[in-house]
Amino acid sequence: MSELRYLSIEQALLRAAILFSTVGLSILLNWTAEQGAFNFWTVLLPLGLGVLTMIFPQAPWTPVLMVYAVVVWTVVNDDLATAGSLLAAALLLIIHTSAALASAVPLAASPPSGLWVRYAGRCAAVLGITTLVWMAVRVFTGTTVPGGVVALMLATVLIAAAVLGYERWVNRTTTA
Amino acid sequence: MTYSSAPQPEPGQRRRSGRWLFTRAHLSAVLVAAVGVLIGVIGGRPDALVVIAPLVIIVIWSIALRPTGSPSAEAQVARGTVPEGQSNAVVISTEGVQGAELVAASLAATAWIRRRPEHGAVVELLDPSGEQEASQLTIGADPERWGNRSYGTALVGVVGAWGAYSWGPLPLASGTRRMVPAAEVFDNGAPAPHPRGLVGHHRSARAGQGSEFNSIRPFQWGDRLKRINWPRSTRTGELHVTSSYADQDTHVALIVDAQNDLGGSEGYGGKASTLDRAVRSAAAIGEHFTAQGDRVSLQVISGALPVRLSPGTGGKHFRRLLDVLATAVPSPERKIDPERVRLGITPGTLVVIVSSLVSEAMFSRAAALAHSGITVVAIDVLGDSAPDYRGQPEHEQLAWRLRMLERDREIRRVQQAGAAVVPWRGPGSLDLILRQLARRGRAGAM
Repeated sequence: MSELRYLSIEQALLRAAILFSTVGLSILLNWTAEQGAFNFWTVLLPLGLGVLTMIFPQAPWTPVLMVYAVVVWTVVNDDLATAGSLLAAALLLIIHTSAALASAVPLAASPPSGLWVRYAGRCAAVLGITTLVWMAVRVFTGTTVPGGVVALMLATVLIAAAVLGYERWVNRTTTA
Repeated sequence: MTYSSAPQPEPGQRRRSGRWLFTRAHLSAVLVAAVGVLIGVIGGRPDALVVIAPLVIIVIWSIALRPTGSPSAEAQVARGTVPEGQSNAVVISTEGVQGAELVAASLAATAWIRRRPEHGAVVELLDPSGEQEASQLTIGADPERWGNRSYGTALVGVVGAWGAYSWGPLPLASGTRRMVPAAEVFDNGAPAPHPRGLVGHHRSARAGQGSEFNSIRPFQWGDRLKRINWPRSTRTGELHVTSSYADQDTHVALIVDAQNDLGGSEGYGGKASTLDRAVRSAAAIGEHFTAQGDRVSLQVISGALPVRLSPGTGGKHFRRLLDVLATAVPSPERKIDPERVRLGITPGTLVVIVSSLVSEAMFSRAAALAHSGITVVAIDVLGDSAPDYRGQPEHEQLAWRLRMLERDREIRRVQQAGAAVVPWRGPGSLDLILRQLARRGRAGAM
């Protein structure tokens, strides 16, 4: 805990991403469950787990938070085709990626900027595929897919491809 | 990266471990994905499958990009012997990192080593193609004070894509190296008082083969023909030669009192303790005299580790002198018997004692040497390094004042015995006293 004072800016950003994603997740769960603003199960407990994950990203709090979020989501959500699932998936993706990177890099070290570009592209690609899964679930449950979502999904995949392509191009030019 | 404890490795040894391990992040993703799939399939909740879809993709992606190399790593200090205040680095080279994504290394903090970056941790992002086989990370490790110092233990770890696989962190010892003192600025324009030997920088008291002009005198049998002064010879009709002073060297015996280390040290460029000043000034004097061709010997007197360096001259000898100075270890708890300190000093030697002049043994030794007719110059390095007793209990301040009065009395007694005592003031510290000593040599008294 005392080591946290040596945090680099990049590490602080990763941990901030964990916290803000947890806050977003709590808001989503609470909004879906239609509970009071300080409900223990949908707000306070996830936030507490989020704070612990932020402080100790390498500790078992991360899987506990994510498993809890998945279980609570299935409990509070009645609409199988809701776009909220996609949002919850995106927030879980940010929490997992940020925790994995925060654990992999020494506390005080500043990772190279290329790492952000690489992971931004990867996350966009994962999100694009997740959107495909969500669209398949909507089709499976007999709900139509709105045209705007298709456009959003296509844009996400294009951004992911562009970012990954750029990262690779930059890397090739520097090594050559 | 979490650093687990591991057995202390040997310095410079390449450490190999072929095991790539799942990280907690990867196991966490697998667990969450498994729970989501169970809920989705058994509970008939396709929305749970959407929520865990990113983690399933990450698990598949990271397994597909699993690192394939068999890593090994070693840590080496870039430069072996470095003077304090100069730059050095610990180089951590890792091989067999194919398929990995990040290499991270950190250097543990150790005394008198300044790390660059200050936190001592660096990260390298590897080629995304996964074909990069080796990586080299450099962490600056600049010695801040002379002596035998450890560069600390380096930790190195390699991580795969999505932080799913990790190798290490492995501790790598970078070993202990000797940091030699940085010689202070010193110059001396005065001649040595009793030059001896055949060659050297100092002008002898008698005429001989040398380069400095003495006189023009009539030719004598044995004079070399090239010394004939033709203008004078043609004018007078008698052969004359240009005579010169012989060039001679001197033996400078440096005696460094390492028994006590008074005052705090902040390393190179900061506040200096008495031992810092003694070692750095001895290095400066040694550098000056070895550079001008004199023979310089050294004795570091300490109850812990008395060391001695035989007389010698030149650049190589100066480096040996720095090495010996770097081994000085204070030991105020042990007493030195001045009679048992064997100096092996012959007549004509210039003895330079570098000391804080608080040890009785050094006073006795200086007085005894001066009594025996040897030229002794004691350099007082206490100066500004005296411990600051302000704010300390009154009895401690009083004790220190009494000790200082006693010290002044002892210094006067040593001076009366014939030894010269001068404070260390850098360049020119010895000028005046050596001139006076040289004059004393000719006139018989100082």
